[in-house]
Amino acid sequence: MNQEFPSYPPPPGFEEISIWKKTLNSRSFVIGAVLTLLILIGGGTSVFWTPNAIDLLDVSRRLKPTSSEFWFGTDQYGRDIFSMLMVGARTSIIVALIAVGIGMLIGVPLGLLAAAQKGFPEELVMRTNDLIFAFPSLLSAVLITSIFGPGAINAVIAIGIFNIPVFARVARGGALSLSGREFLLAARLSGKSPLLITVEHVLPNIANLLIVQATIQLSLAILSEAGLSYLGLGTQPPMASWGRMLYEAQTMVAFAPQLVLYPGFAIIFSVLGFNLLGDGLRDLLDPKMRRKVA
Amino acid sequence: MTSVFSATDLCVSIAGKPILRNVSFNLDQGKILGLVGESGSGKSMSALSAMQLLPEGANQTGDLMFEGKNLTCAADTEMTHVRGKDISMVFQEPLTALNPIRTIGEQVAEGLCWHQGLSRKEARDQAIDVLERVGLGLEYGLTDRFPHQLSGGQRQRVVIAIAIACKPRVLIADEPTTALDVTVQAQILTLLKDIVCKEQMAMLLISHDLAVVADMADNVAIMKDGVIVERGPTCELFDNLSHPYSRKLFAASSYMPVPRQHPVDEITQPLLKVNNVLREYPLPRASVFARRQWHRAVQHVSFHIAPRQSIGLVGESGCGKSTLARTILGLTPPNAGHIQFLGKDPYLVSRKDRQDLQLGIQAVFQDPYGSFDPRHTVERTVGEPLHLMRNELSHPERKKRVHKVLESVGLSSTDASKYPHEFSGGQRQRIAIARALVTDPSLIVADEPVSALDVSIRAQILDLFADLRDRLGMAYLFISHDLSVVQAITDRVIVMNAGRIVEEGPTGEVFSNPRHPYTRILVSAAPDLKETLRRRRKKENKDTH
Repeated sequence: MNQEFPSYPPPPGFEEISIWKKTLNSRSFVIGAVLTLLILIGGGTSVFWTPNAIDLLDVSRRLKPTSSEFWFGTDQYGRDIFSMLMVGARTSIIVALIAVGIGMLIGVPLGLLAAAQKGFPEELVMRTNDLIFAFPSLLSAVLITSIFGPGAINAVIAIGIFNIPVFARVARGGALSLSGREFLLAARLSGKSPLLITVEHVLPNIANLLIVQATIQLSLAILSEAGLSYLGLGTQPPMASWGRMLYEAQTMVAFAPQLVLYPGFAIIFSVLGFNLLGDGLRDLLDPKMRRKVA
Repeated sequence: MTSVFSATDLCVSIAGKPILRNVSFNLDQGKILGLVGESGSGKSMSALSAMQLLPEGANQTGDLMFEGKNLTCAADTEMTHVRGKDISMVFQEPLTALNPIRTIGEQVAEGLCWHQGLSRKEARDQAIDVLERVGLGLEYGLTDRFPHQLSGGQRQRVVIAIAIACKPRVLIADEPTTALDVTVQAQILTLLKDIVCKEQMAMLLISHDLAVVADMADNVAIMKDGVIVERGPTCELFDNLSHPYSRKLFAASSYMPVPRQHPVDEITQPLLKVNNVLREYPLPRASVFARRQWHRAVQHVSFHIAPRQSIGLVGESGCGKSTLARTILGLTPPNAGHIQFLGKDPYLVSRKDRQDLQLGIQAVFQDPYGSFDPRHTVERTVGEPLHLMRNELSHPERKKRVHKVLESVGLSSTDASKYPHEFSGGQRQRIAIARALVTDPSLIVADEPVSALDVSIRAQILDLFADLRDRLGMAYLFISHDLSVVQAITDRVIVMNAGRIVEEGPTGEVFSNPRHPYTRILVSAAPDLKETLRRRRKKENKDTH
C-alpha cells in the first residue's frame, strides 16, 4: 500500500537522555536493584562466612536480644537469626534460580516451537500448558513433594514445572508478534533453517520479554519455596530457609514476635525487590514504555 | 471570498525543537487548500495545531481565527464544542480511525448526539441521511454493520460521514486516500470534492502526492521543514515554481529514469517460467462441522521472464501479487502448477540445489523499517544471504563482498558497522537492495520497493534500480500498485486482478492502449501530475473565455 511512513527522528526531548540517566530516573528499577543486591550479597557471603554457625543448638543462649554478637538476636534453640537469614537467602536464591532456569530452558523452546509449527505441535504444547495452568501451582507443588518426598530438590522441580507454561506463553507470544516481519522472510531467503532463524533473529528480539518475565518469576519462586518449606515439604533442617524459620517461630509468636517478623520481612523484601526490578527493567527495555521513564 | 478559518504565524515547538515556523494559511468557503510536503515537513502538525490537538509538551504561538472568533486561547472544554461540529477531520487510516466494537450507525450518530443534543432515535435517522450523502445509502444496509465488515473504500466513506455529520464549516483531510487503492482513491477524491462544493465547506487537504493535490485543490501551499516555501492558486503555482525545493519536488513526482539502452533478447531460454500456478489459503471454518472454504489468492497464473528483462506486476491490494512473489521466491509452495528457475523447480530439487537456486533469486521488500533485524549490524544483515554459499567464503572475503556491494548502492563501507536505525528511509532501502545484490543474483523480486518512500527519495531509488539493471544486467520482477513506478522501470507489464492475469504486454503499449476494462480503469484512475495540470489549464481557459 502506498503508505507514507513517519520520519523517524527520536521523539523530541528524548535523544539526549543517556542510558544511565534513564536507569537512575527509574525509581522502581533502582529500589528493586538495591533490594535484590542486598539479598544476593547476603546469600553469597553465607557460602563462606556467617557471623555464627547455624547448626549449633545451644539452649543456654536461647532468645537472646539484639547484641554485637547476635545482630538480630537468637531463636528458641539458640541459633543466630541473622546467620540463618543469610543462609535462608542463599537457599531461596538457589531454589528460585534453578526453578526459573528449568522453566526457561524447557518453556522457551516449547513456546518457540509452538509459534513456528502451526497445527498439531502448537495445539499439543499450548493445551498441555493450559492443563498445567489449570492447577493452582502451590497446591500441585505440595502434591508433587508429598508424593516424591520432601526436600529441596523436589521443591525445585515442582516449582520449575509450573514455570514452564509461563515461559512457553511469553516466548510464543513474542515470536508470534515478530512473525510476518520482513527480516524473517529475508532470513528464509538466505537459506537459513527455522532453527537458525529462531536462534539468530527471534530469540534476541524477545530476550527483553523473557528477562523481565524471569525476574518476576524469580520472586514467585521465592514465595513458593518459602510456602513449601513452611509446610515442611521444602528445605530440610539443618539447612535454613525463610519458610522453615516462619514455621518454627509460629509457636513462639506470643513470646518472641521478632522470630516471625525477621523471616517475614526477608520474604517480603526479596519478592518486592525482584518485582520492582522486573517492572523497572520492562520500562527500560520496552520502547513503548520508554516515554514514561524519560 | 470569505475566509472561514485563518491561521497566522503559527509556530510550534516540542521540547524546544521547532516543528512549525510562521505558518499562515486561510481556508475559504467552498475552496480547497492543498498542503503538500514530504514526511516530516510539518503538514500533519499544521492540521493538529489548527484543531488544537497537539501532543503533550508542545508549545504553540500565533493566531487561529474561526469565523471571527479567536481560538488561540480557547480552553480545551471550549474546543470540544468546536471540534467535530465546526471543524472536523478525516484521517488517513480508516480502520484505525473507526471504533471496531461499535456499529457504523452508532459512530456516525455519536457526534450528532453530542453536538446537537439529539435523542438516539433522531441521531440514528440523521446518521442514515449522512451515510446517504457519502454514497452509502440504505440499500447497502451498512448502518448496523461493524467496521471490519466493510471494504477499505466504504470505511473511508464512513470516516468522511462522521466528519461531515454535523455540517462543519471546515474540513481537514490528512492524507485521506494514502491507504487506499488507486481506483478507490479516485472515488473518494470525487466524493470529497462534491461535498465541499455542495455544502460550501472550507477544506484543508494534506497530501504527499502532488498529483492528488493538483487535481483537487484551488490553492496549494508547499511545505518543507515546518515552513511554507511557496503558495498560490494551483495552476499558476505549478506553472511558475520559483523555490528550488518545489521545483525539485515537482521534477521528482513525474520522474522517469533513463530508459534501457540495450533491448533485451526475449527469444533466449527464459530465466523464470511460471506455469499455471495456483495458490489457495484455507479460510477459518464457519463452524466445527462446516466444510472448510478456500480463498484462491493466485489462480492459474503463467508467464516467464527472460534474462535481463524487467517485468512489472501491477494490481490493487489483495489481487495476489505478493502471494505470487512469495511463491516465486520459494517461500510458499504452490498448490498446483510449477515454477522453473534456470530450468529447475525449486520445490522439487534437493536442499542443496535449492540453496544454489536461491543464490540467483533475491528480494527487496516494501517496508524499509521492518525488513531488518534491529539487533544486527548492516554488515551482518547485508551478508546474511551469503549463508547460502555454505562457508565457501572466508571471513575477510565475505567482508570485502559486503563492502563492495554497499558501495555499489551508494553507501560507504564505513556504514557496515552501523545499525539500521541510524539510517533514513531511503538509505535503508539502499541497504535492502545491497542485501539482495550480495549473492550476485540473476533475478530480483522487488515487492513495492518504493511505495513507502518520499517522492524525492523514490526518484533516487528508481535511478539506482535502473543503473544496476544497466550495469549488472539482472532481471527484475517489479511489484507495485503504483503505475508510474512500473512504467518508469519495466519492459513488460502484467496486470493482475482477483488472482488472475488480465492483461500482459510491453509496458508502453499496455499503458497507452489498455485492452482489458480493468486495465483501463486502473490507468484512468492513476493520478498523473502533468496530465491533471493539462486538463485543469484547459478547463480554466474555457472558463475565462
